[in-house]
Amino acid sequence: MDGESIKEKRPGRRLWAIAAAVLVCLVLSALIGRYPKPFLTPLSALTDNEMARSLIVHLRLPRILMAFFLGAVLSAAGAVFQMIFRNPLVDSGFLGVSQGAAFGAALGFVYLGGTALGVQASAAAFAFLGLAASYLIARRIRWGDWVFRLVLAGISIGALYSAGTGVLKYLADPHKQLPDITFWMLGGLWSVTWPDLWQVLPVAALGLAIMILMRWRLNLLSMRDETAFSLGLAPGRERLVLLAAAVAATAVLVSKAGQVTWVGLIVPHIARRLVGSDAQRMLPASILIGGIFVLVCDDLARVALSGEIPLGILTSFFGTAVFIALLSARKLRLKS
Amino acid sequence: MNGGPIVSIRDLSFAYSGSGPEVLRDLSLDIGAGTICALLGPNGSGKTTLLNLVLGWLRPLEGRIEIDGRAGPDLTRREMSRIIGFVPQEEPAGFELSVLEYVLLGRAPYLGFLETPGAEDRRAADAALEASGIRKLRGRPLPTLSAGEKQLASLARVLAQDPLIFLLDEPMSHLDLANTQRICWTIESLRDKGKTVVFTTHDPNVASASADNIVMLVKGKVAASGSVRKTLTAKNIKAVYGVDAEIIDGNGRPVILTRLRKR
Amino acid sequence: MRSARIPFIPTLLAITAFIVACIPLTQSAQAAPSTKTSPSSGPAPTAKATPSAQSAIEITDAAGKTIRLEKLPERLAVVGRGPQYLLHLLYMFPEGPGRLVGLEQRGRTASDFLSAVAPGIDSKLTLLPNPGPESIAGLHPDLVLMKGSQSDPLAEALFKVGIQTASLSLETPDEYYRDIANLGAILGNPKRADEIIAFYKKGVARVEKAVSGLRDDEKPSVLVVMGNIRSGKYAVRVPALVWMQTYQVKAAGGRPVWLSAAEQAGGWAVVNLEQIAVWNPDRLIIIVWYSTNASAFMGWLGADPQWKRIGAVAAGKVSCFPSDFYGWDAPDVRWILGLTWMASLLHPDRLKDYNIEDEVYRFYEELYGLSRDTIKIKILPTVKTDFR
Repeated sequence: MDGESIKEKRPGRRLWAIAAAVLVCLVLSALIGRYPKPFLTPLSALTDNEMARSLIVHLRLPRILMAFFLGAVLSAAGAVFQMIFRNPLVDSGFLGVSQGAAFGAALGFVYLGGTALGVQASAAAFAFLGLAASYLIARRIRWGDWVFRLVLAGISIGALYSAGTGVLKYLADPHKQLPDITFWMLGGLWSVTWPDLWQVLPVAALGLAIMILMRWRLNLLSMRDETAFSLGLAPGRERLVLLAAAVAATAVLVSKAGQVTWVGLIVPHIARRLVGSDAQRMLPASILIGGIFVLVCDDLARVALSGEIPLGILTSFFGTAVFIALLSARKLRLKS
Repeated sequence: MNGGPIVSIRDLSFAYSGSGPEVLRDLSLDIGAGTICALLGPNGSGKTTLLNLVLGWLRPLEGRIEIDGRAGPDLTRREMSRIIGFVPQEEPAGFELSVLEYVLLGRAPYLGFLETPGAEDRRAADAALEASGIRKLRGRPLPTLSAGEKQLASLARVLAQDPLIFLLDEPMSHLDLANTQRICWTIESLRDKGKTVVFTTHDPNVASASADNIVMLVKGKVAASGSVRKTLTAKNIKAVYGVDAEIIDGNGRPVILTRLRKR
Repeated sequence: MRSARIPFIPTLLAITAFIVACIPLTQSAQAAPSTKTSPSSGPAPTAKATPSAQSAIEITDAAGKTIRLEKLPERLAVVGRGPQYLLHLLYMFPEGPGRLVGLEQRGRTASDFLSAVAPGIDSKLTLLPNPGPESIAGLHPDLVLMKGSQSDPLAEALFKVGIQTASLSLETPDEYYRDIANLGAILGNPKRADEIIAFYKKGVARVEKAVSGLRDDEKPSVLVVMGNIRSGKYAVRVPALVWMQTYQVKAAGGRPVWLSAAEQAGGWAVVNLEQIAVWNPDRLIIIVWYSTNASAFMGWLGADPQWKRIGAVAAGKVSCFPSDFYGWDAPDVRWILGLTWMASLLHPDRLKDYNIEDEVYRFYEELYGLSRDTIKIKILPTVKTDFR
């Protein structure tokens, strides 16, 4: 009994430690910037320099919170997708969701005037459409189990959207719209202000809440459908609720932040290493670790140089580096 | 509750797709409460399909199924989950849940939609692990277990679920002698507690040893059913499996010998 | 197993508390303006008819925003796409160079032209492409200038910290006149703005007079295309309906043939040879000045048998849009040079006194105050009318 309770406590303590790290990162991020000088903002600036204060309150704070939520949502969605599809190499790119968001955003830039609202709404709408289309097509496929069917449908829809985006890029004005689309597709959080945050918060918070509350059900859903059914679940319906929550939250954040890749794929793996595969701990850990990951990348994006580095580039770079490190690590498990 | 059969099937027909071949045809069957029933039959005879129909996962084309006196479709999923427990032939490895976490999944019928397992559930899981003899494996990730250990883990899960009826699909297919014995003894003690166990197997000797009643299926129809001694005859074995067999007596239970050497 | 819930909820609560605590901060900071060029109205300024007594400047920029400043801005920053368009205009004003404190540099230089004639520009503070609001704030600008006709999220973010942004669209002649006037107000030199506008209007009037009275059948059909070489493939695109090139053709007494295929305003539209054959323009004008492969493109055009079947090519009525440091077709300040050139190309008999060198001298003398020698040495050699 004793051995077991100690083993149970370790991942629990790790989760606390991660939560503490989140708070530390948030505070430090608020003190990093390029004004009045690059990198660390001296604390005296907070009291003397009105512009510095203004920048922190109006621009830095909403931005770091947005970065945190972006990471949290992408990671939670990635964890949900991976458990539901029982495949550690799945993220929103498999359901046509991120390609749909990209297509919607490109459409917004080329035909809807490129206004912020138009781009976001369009990205969110097409992301949902991507999921719906994947689901409908999967129902018509006759062979294979449902995971195979859904992934097959999702890849086809994703490819269709990518082709559409290619067409839009071709039609775009190379001087005005194409750079906009390209920069968006690389992902970035420059110019995020409080209203932007309020716009995404309701859906993102709701999606996160649903995923967190249903995290134990996620364990159940990794079993065969018949078994889950025998335990009283409606596996199809519960999967749909979780997927809808994941996709809605993802779409809304991706429409603001552009394409930020690899987060949903990598962070659940890291979380699993630290606290185990049980979704009760893995999901909250993914959320916190994902938040930190994107927050740190975004800090670099806005602080390293006087020009913004697209966030997607940094997340891809660090994400793949971590991924390769994980793959080559000799030790297979950290948790008991 | 007492007196009538706990599972009552009448004129059941089923096909997988609307126009496909019928897998089960006009099947009628009673399973008594507190008994152990073995479903015997060659591969493809419809044993797994029948279990899925009783579970309610599949819907029949025609016929009715009554569980504990109530029609199958009338039961809510929650009620069903407390009455029937199901162990499939194979469970995908899924993610690296530990054995304990996996067994805890069996407690789902007793938890609200957003509830997570508590101390009482952990106790039930522990007891189930003990009964299955794999308590020492409880911290191991599921994919690292051998096939036999995984079957014991599945059994532990359904023990933790503690339903009235246990539907087990090929529960002993990967097990060695010691574990086969353990499963048979566990099934017996379940029956002694008043539970009903229905399991499929294609080994008639296992059925003979542990079951009270046997149902033999051939191509979706009941070829024979009844007590062990009544059903396990050379004639029935020939009709169902197409092999000649010799029946000898083993401590009051028939032992089926098939000629495995040509000469 | 409930232990996993506990660490998470306090974190979520902490973050929520953090956000909630910041709300009063954001509201109070908006109510109290911070820098000396504080906007006197709230977050969403709308155009007002009468300027208030205290503000030194009140203009409506290209995005429809009203910019009100109490004092003339001493420090200007130029950011965004196409900074050279703004800079070329800014340097027409004597105050311009002095007031410019920083700019976003998107290419090798801020502007090849300005580096040649106003070397001081190379020592201005530059920011890497896509600067964030903090980097721009580090320049301590009183006003930020951006090219565009729509409100930009960067401008909105800057506004939140009390830095105003004025947009200048600079796409059509009318927009030019408005933007030049706005720039004059910003620099406190409306007289100079009037002079510049007068120069352009005089040039336009001259062309209009030259082509007045032309019947439609006297106007040659013209096709303007931009030559592209992308990964070894040659392609041509036509300009959008509302763009400068379309205007230039119409105003110079030509008939633009590509309008059915053009985008409204979105961008360059790709056309293929079949379509060009259908249009069969009298004159073909190619824009290749920006390309490093210009001669390759013109060579291909001359040699390709398909192109030879186009009437204008066979008749030798193919011209390249001229340029000096920058093309005369783009919505750069040089558009007036392009307009006059095109009028003389299409109707040489009506603009008999056209001399390209004189045009160049006059443009740079009057607008930039450069001496004839400087123009002769530094600018004339860069003027190209043929890229073959």
